[in-house]
Amino acid sequence: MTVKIELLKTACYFTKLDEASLQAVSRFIFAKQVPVGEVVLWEGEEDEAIYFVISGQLKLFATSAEGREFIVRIVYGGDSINDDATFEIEPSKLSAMTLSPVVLYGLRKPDLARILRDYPLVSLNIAQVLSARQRYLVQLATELVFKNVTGRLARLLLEREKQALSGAENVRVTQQEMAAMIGTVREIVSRSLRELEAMGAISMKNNQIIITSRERLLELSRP
Amino acid sequence: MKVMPELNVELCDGCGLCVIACHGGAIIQEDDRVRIELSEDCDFCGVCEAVCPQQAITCFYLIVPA
Repeated sequence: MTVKIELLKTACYFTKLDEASLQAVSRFIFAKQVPVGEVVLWEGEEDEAIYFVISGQLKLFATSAEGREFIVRIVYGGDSINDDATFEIEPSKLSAMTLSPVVLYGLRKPDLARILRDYPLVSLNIAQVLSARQRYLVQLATELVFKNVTGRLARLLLEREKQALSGAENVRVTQQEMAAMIGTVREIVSRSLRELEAMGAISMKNNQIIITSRERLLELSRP
Repeated sequence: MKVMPELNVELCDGCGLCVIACHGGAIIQEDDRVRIELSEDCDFCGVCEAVCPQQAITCFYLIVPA
């Protein structure tokens, strides 16, 4: 599978790089196609490469000793995974599994160091990516502490709606996944969906969750 | 068009727990296999997915903007 420049420039570390720089960087990139339902990274295992999601989506998750899953985030096109293991000497704290067929562009740690030396703009991009991610994690932690499940579910639905509006493929999710994303169990998600429906924020029709009042969801998701 | 839960026949071991759990009568046991058929009584509650020990059933929800 060949690396395409027009796809490489969608990767979060390489946005705003000029054509010549992208060409030079592409020599270090390898491409990988992964089918749906496959684990790309295992929590605690060493993988010395960073991966950019070029198409499709993955879930990044942690697993408890009892086997409960907590989905930290869903990763879409342009985003990167395994950054922590690439910049630190410890293996990743999270596993990654594909939710659809995925194309990944990979970059090995020693090659990343070479790119950082030659293209300072990449360092700036990385700083922005990691700072946005830190902001997201702070929001997530705050939400888990201060918001009830219905409020967390409201925020999740708004986020997924945004993805649907941006034209992302496969904006579909199971109750189990929703539970794993907001730190609860499936039964509570099911109850909260009914609560949101009773409040007039959503309407459930067969397998569709229709956002009927964005304002109400926003109100519920506010810290 | 009515959407039904998805069954991965490769993962299903035909234990029949989903048949017992389904209150919509949408899951049918056939010897050592199960089959999901179109049923107006299926309200996509997700219980079949929750009880399946093989994780062979998936109920995907679509988030639809207003």
